[in-house]
Amino acid sequence: MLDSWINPEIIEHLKYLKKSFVSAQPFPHITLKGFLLEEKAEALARELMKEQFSEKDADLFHFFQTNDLTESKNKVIREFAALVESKEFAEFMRELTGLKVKAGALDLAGSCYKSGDYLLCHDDQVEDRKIAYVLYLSKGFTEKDGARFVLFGNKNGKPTNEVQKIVPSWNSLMLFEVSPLSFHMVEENLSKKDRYAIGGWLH
Amino acid sequence: MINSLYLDEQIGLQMRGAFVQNKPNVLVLNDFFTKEFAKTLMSEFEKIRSVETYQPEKWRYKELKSKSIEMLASSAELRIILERAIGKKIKRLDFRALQFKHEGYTLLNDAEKQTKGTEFFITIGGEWDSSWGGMSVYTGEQPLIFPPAHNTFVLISPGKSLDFVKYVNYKAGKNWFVKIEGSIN
Repeated sequence: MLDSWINPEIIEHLKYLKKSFVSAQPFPHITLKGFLLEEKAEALARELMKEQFSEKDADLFHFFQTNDLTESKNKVIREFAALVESKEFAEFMRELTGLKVKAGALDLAGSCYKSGDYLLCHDDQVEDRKIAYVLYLSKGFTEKDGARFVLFGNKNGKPTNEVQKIVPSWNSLMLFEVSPLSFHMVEENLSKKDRYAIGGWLH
Repeated sequence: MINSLYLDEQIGLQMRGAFVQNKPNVLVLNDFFTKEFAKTLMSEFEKIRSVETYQPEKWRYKELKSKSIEMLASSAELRIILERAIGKKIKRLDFRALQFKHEGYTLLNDAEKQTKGTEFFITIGGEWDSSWGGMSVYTGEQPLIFPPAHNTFVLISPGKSLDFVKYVNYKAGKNWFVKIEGSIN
């Protein structure tokens, strides 16, 4: 199943990628560029845009989100959900991160950050979340567009400075270990482009 | 300093009535300062160079200190208006002025989940479009939302509801506003 979705070069280099994940600062994370086979990424992006997105607005954020995509009626999305829910994917994640996740125990939703949308600093810590994952499915984002994923350093359990900023590049999978110190945010989208992604948490 | 209309005793009674009638208790007064004083504040705020306070999980703003703010904090006129509206003597007033511009915000703070006393804020700034963010929001079944309207005074007894200032997005450009906040004890 993995072979029919994931770039084989990534599968081949899991040991090396694990070292990079574990040693990453300010907390374990990794970005895998060209994660899906190109035709799969294209199909997923196309079908994701057909899903219904509802506005999410609070002190911490403003963006648009789909319902739980594991229950999507869309064939391509359902197939992608089946991949993420599979035992093979759980094992792939364990090899990549060293963290044991339960197959099928996950959250999966689509998100869209329109111009001016953002998600301010938080840690994602909710009981049982082990890995946060997000697959970027928009093309053409560069540094000046904002909408980057920002990782914060920490001191005495509080976020401090912005240590890393990750551009949401097309077909990149960003993963990080969820902990009380995994402070992060999504910068405001300064462009006129919509920033689509699909992601959630593995438990 | 303060619009003389609001110093009138009869108007004071009306303000008290309006404040008590609203649930939660809220009073909004437009054109709160005299035009001259509002202008003085604007011009002072434009000149002040202050260091930004950024605690990512809590807030991002600049705290401003100015002579006019000090004058206001010790103003007898302001005390008269507040005491008439809340219907009791004020023991202590805590005061601060926060400047918000692009990227400014405050977040809800669970640690502050306790019944709060009466508080007020006065906004000073230019024309503001609500699509830029910056609203003061009090949470609850029916949230109270106050856009940053120039020279507007808001008195509120929020009870257990928490408040935050919505993130100011890039559409605000170089525009800013100052929220002069006070809590009454």
